[in-house]
This record gives sequence, C-alpha cells and structure tokens, in this order.
Amino acid sequence: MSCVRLGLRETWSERPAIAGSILTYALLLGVWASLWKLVPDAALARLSLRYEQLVWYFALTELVPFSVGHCYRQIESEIQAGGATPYLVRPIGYTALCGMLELGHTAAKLAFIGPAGCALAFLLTGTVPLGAAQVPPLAVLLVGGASIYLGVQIMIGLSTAWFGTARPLFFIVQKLVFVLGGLIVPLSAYPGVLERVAWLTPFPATLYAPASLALEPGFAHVGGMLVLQAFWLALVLAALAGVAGAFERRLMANGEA
Amino acid sequence: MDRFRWMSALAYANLRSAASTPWRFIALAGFMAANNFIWFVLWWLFFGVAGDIRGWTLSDVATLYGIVAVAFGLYTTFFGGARIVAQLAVDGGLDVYLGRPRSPLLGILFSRCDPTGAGDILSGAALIAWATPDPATFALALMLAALGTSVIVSTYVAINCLVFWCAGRASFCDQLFECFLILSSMPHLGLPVPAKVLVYTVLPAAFVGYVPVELLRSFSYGELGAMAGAALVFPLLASGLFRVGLRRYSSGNRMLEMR
Repeated sequence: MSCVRLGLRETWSERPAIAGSILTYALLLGVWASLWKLVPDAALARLSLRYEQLVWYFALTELVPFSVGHCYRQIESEIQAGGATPYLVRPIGYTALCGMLELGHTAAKLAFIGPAGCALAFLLTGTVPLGAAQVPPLAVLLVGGASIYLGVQIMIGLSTAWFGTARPLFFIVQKLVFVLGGLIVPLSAYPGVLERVAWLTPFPATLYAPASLALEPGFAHVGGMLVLQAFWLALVLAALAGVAGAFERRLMANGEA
Repeated sequence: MDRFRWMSALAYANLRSAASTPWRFIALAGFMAANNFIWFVLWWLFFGVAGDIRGWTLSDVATLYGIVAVAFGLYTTFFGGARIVAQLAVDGGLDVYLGRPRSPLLGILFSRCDPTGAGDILSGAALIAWATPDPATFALALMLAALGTSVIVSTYVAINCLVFWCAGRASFCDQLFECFLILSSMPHLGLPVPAKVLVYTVLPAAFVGYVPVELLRSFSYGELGAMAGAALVFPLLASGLFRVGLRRYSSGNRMLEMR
C-alpha cells in the first residue's frame, strides 16, 4: 500500500503533466463530439444510438488509456539502464513494486481526469446517462479496466528484457486495445466478424465494459460486465505472474538487455 | 562546408547510424507501419456508421492520415532532435551545441534519427496512394506532407522552448505536442470558432493535415500560398523563440563534452 501511496504522491507532484493530460483529453473529446454531432440522426438511429450516448461513451473509454498513460516506458528505460537487477535481492519483486507504484499513478490520474471528463461530457450533451446507483459500479469498472490495461502494459515493459525495446510492441497492442476495445464506436455497432473477434480478447473488458454503461445502464448489463472484467483480470494477472517469473529467471541467467 | 552540405552530411550520418542494425531498423519501421494501419481501422469503423460527413469520406481521411504520417515520419527520420530541445535545456545539454561554430538549433534538430519514421513514411505513402486518384495528386500530397513536416518540427521546437520560461515542465511540453499531433490527424469539421482559431495559430495543426486535404479536394492557389507561408513563417517563429529563450539559458558546465 505504501507503494500505491507513493504513486499517488508522485502524480500529484506532476500537476502540470496532469493539466496537460486533461487538456489533451478535453481536446480529443471536443473534436470527436463535433464529429459525432455531424452524423445524421438517422444513421445513428439505425444502430439504436444517440449523439449524447456516443459522447458519454467516448468520454468513458478515453478515461482508461489516459489514466494508465504510457507506464511501460518507465519499466523499459529502467531495464535498458540496468536498474531492475538491484530489486532481485529485495523482499518485494520488481514487477510487484512497479505494479503497485503504477496503480497509484493510475488511481491519481483517474481521480483528476475522471471528474473533469464527466463535467465536459455533461457540458457537451446537457445530459447524464447514469443514475446515482450506477456510479459505484462505474468506478469499479473503470478501475478494473485500467488494471487490466496496466497489467498488459507492465508485461510489454518487461518484454524489453527479450527485445531490447518495448515501444513497437506497445504501439501495436495499444492500437489493438483501441480497435478491439471499442474506443470510438461501441462494439455493438461493429461488423459481425470483428465484433466476435473482439470478444475473444481482453480488450473489451478494458474500454467497452465501463463505457457501455452510458449505452445500457441496466443492472443485468452491469453485472455481466463485472463478471467479464473479473475473468480477464484474473487471466491477465496470471499471465503477468508468468512473465514476471520468466523475466526474473532471464535476469539471473543473462543480466539485463 | 556550406550549411546545406553540412545538414545533408548530418542527416546521412544519422541514417547510417540508425540502419547499422538492419533487422532492427526494418522491424521498428514495420511495427510502426502496422500501428498506423490498425489505427486506420478505427476510421473505417467510424465511417461505417457515419457514411460521409460534410462531403468527407473514408478516402479523404486516408489522405489526411497518410499526409500526417509521412510528415511525422520525415520529422522523426531527419529532424528527430526537435524532441529533445526541452530536455537539453533542462539538463544543460545545450552546452554541447553552443560550443560549436554552426547553428545550435540545426545541430540539435539533426542530432537524432528514429528508425520508426521509415514505417510512418511508407504506411503514409501507401494510404495516400490508396486514396488518391492519380500520380499527380499523389505527388502533390507528398509535397504538402513535406511542407507539413516544417510545421511539425517548428511547432515542437516552439513548444519545447517553453521550458526556458518555466523550467522543469518538459513533460507538459510533450503533452502539448501530443495535443498538436492528435489535432493534426483529425478532420476539423464542425469545430467551434475558438478551436478553429487555435488550430490555425497557436497550435497550427490545420496546416499539417486538414488544409492539405482541402487543397487536394479543391485546389486553390490561395490555400497553397497559405500552406507555403505556414511552412516558412512557423520555422522563423520557432527559431526566433529559441534564440530569445537561449538568453535565459545559463548552464555552462558541459561545454567541453564531446558527442
């Protein structure tokens, strides 16, 4: 927990960067909202969607990548600089330490960008698609989605030990998260094959699961999304444990990249 | 050696250095190209729902995204040093360039080459080729992308120069540049007036992607002049800002460092 608290404090001390994140987030939301506004209502009605829903949906999907940021970079540069080895002799492993610290960073960013994003979405649409009762599950789904994406990013960061760099892999995975997670267009509006492929990956659990509450706030849907997230979170954590073990074994045998 | 030969020599040396491990160069470029194509799927999905917007279709966005990718690729391949201006100003690294007889800004700009730029250039060119109807339009799009590179590089330098006035804000500069890039790669349709003013002035993102595509959709010498003007004026502004900022820079502890 002290690592999480440290992460929170570190993020708070980087207030200009948070301001920059909020500005970028707001610009992106504003531009996409103005694009959705130009789409004829009839085109959206064919998919049973409305402008207000799509703006809120995008405001929520965007929260996850903005909260997690590019945390793989820190791990990548530490491994490249040989900074991970000293952690081998410490009681808490390198991966666990990074994970907790980044969880703190993510939680702090979510706490700052989240309210700003919701306020902006309200300003753009004049509506709120959720009742007070859906706010706690939404918060849980946002944290869950961010945790899955965080786990994936930590694995990508650790891959530096094998490839010497993590950047190209990150870019590919990031774009897959955006496409298969339903960043801009809800998965329900995807062509059939692509939608089926998306549901086979963990990415809908990161972005679509929390944001779909803007489309379907019913409790049956919320429950389904929570179960989906729990399943993928467990799987990602198991994969992360496996990668972390392989990483430490490689470090012991070969040293750092 | 005159200035242009010196710049060419620096660019060539950087390229050779980046390509010294060919498999890595190719892999990084390939990953970046794949990244661009996957991102484009989002636009395909969006237009699948929206149809066309104010006459803009998927092929217009492909042209826009292609032009921005080529412009960005040219920046990372040849002027990659624009990214590190703020970092150098913060950690005293500018000393290395100030002690040289040539322009410090040009020295910094030509100090880095990122192999992923080749992937951006190739994927961008492929998107433009897919979306444009004839070779002449394709060539014009590439020329406009080259002009866009000038706007990208000068904007990044100008943004990074902010650290001369507010030290320790390098991360904010990166965020601001990310804003600029996001705005560059999107069609500016239906934006409110203040946002339009922003993308033509302070963050001149319109000149990287949107104006070139509008030019290709309906050619006008006025817009071409504006584009060429932007490619000339913004570098002058950035260079002026860098020179003014240098007056506030005081490190002097790494003058003898060799690179």
